[in-house]
Amino acid sequence: MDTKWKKSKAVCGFLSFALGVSLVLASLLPIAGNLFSEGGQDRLESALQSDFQETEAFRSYLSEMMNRFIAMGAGGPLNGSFSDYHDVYAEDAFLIEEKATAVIRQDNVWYFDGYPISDYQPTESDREQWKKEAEAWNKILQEDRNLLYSISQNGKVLYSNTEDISQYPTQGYSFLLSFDGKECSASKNGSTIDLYGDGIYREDGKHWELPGYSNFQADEEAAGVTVSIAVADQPALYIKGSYGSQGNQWRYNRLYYLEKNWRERRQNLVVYGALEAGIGLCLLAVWFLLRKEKPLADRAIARVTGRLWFEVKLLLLLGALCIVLLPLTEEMRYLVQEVTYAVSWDVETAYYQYPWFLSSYLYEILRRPGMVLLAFWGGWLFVNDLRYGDKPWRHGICGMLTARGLKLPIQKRLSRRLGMLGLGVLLLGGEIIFFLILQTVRAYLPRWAIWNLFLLPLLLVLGIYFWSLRCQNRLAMELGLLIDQITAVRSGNFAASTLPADSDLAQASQELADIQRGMARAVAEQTRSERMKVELVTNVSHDLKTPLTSIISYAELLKQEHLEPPAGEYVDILCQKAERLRSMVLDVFEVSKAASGELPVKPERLDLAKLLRQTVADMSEGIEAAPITLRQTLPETPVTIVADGDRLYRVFQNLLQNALKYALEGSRVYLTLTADAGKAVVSVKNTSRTELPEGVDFTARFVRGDSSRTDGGSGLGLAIAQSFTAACGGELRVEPMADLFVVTVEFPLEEGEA
Amino acid sequence: MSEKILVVDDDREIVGAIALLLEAEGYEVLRAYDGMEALDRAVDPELRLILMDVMMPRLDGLSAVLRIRERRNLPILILSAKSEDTDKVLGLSMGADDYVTKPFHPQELVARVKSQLRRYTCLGDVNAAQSKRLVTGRLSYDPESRVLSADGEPVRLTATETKIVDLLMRNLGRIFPAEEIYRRVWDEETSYAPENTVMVHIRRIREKIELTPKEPEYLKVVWGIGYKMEKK
Repeated sequence: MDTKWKKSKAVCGFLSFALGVSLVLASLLPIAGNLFSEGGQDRLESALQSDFQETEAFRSYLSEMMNRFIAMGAGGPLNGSFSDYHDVYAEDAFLIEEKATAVIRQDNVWYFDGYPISDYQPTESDREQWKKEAEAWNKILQEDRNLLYSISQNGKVLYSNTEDISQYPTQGYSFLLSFDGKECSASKNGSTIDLYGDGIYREDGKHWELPGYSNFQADEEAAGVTVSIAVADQPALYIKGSYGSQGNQWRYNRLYYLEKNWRERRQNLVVYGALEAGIGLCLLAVWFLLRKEKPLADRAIARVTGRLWFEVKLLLLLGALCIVLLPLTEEMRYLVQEVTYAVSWDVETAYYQYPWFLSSYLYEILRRPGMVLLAFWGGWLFVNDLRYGDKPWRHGICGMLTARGLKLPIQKRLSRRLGMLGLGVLLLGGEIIFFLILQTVRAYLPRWAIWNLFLLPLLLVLGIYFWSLRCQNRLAMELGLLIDQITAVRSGNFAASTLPADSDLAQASQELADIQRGMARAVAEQTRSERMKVELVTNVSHDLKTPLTSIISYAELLKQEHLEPPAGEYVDILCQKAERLRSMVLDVFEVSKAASGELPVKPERLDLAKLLRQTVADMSEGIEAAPITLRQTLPETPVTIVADGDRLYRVFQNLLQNALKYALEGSRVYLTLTADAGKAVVSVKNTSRTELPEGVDFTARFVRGDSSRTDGGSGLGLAIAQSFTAACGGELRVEPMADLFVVTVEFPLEEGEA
Repeated sequence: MSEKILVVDDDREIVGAIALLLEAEGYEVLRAYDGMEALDRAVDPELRLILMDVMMPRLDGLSAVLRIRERRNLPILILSAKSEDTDKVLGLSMGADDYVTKPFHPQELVARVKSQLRRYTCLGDVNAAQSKRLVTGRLSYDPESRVLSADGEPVRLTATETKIVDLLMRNLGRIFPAEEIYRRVWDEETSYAPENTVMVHIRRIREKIELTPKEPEYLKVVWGIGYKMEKK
């Protein structure tokens, strides 16, 4: 129920939107079309007048008739052109704009725009001819009841189509215009109309084109002429007219058509337009109320249009655009012609024409409101499809090709893309050839066909070009992103993002991400196991320490009992081994801490040579007691490094103890320090008492040179040395050579004095 | 009159062993097996020293030390299996006077207990009598009579050792390279191996003044730089 209500609301919303926009557009388009057309503004203005007798067309028509009647009264030509006017009927009646002087009289010769006008005098036969014409004209107008007139000369009526003009105004004839030989006067319903304004005539269509202005006066030949005209309020068709003898119907019933056109235009533009706009606006208001539901309908429409291939839609849109753009091409042609003309002849006409170009183009479009509406709704459907459709460009030939292309490996995809570019180049070449052929055959083809045949392939080529440019751009960007990803992996950031699935390098990125994840997992696992190991060792060593404390204490108490041998000897052994156990537990604890990088170090600048001397001095008792000789080669000058002295002492203490323990009796142990090439290198060399096994990592925990040995050492000496060296930023290497056991410790040298 | 010592540890065997060791030295030992019990026993006015384990049920050792410190001024030694420097610092900042890590040497423990007791009893008159004495921890040195005392008891030193101690005690905390010590003590410019000579003497002095000569607390080697007397 609720959804149904919502649905109907959506439909209502959409319909009111569509109809409202259409109606408003339909009412506005003709107005806009008139605005941009030649004379359209005047038509629009006249349509807005409530009486056709107020319109400009009426004014100019009546002015023309009055001028003709005056000419008839003065015996001049009926269809007097401008030059006729001033030459024959009214020598003083010329048009002088205040700025652009059109006619100048100099030495009794008239000049028009600087050219002399021959002082033409009509002959008798001319006058005869004009009189005949006037009579014929008068005869025709006898039937006319729209315009009643009476023309007199010096009080004598020459031409008239009414009995007594003086009875007017009457019912149905409220407008009167009369000429008294010098000036005109007009009245409507008895009230006078101002004809002359400020008394200066200007050719702007707003003035009555009648003699009587200061710069437009009747000449002496018209002095005796009086004319009276009464105009019907509701003109009708009176004169039939005939093409054979008199001319067409339109010519003699201009007032009727003038009124009819005005009425119809007024009805179309103002009455119907207002009606359409009003209904349209009401519908738009309905849409506004239902605007929240309308997208439902939009989506439904997008679903329907979504079934169409995108390419088809694009073609339809192009067609709609053609409606709008074709007149433009025509106008462009004019413009090009104008500009070419202007440039080649070095004149200014083209520039003068230019502002008109756009408005005439707009007029061309707007004069077909139906087409514009069609184009508008076509465009709306396209935009709606893009807005609410689910990536409509995916559904179509290109979309399908792209989807299939995504399954191809990148090299094939790239080569295919290059192929498309090649196709584009071929198309462009064909286009050029086609253009050349076109020059010869274009007379036989309609213009729209030529444009489409030319424009469509060109658009296709441009499309391919931009598409491949975009692909290339995207590829470059994605390469950059992939490199960023590699950098991220390299720097240990395992949370870097991958490329989107439709990218060319998606597969590579995905695989890299897998490696990343694997590495992250491995590192996390390693860290966890390392931490667990440290915790385990810490806990175990704590758990070992408590009973060990008791063992050591009670062994000591036993010792104080001074037991008889052999029990006393056993107690001594117990004490010794308990002590060994104690040192082992402490060592294991330290090694595991150092190995997991949790050993606190306090690095400081120190003299490595001095440290070695101190270590040797500290151990001098043991060294002297051992059956070996220590040969030291230590530089006298300071060898400055940065390390934790306490830890480093433990390193060399362990190394020397090892050497004392395992060196062959009577052999020499060499301790040397060299400082060279930014490195301080300490080496401890001794000849092993037993054969050194091959392929054994001596720095591993609990490894001994001789696996069968059980006496002395926790087996942790080298492990401690190695891990402490690493913790201090150095490097320890064990390099056994035959029986020679060589340990080297390297530290980077610190510049400057200690 | 034997002095009373309170031993607190949740491991009964350890308490028993320590009690035996201390009783052999002539002390009277009170026993407690957790922090709460320790608080009860600590009210004994004749109590002179407390040995306290850290990890215990009901109330841990450090909290117990804090509470006891509120009422009593007597030496407290922490016994702990934790050997980290940070643990030591924490224990000492809680008000303990010394920190012994498990597993300990029975002799070392006894030596530390004795040291603390001696300092505790002698401290008063030492401070009052000689103000010119140079003191660091349990060591004090009289520069006029050139006598070094550890826990209030004079240490017998040879002439050379006295010179070295004199130099280091007058400059507590300062690091002296072996060459300088040699020059100032022996009054000779060079020696074949000053490091060796100095080290031998340092080691001997340590034997006389340190409770654990292998892990010295006062006379320290600053590896790669020199030697110093720790300032406490």
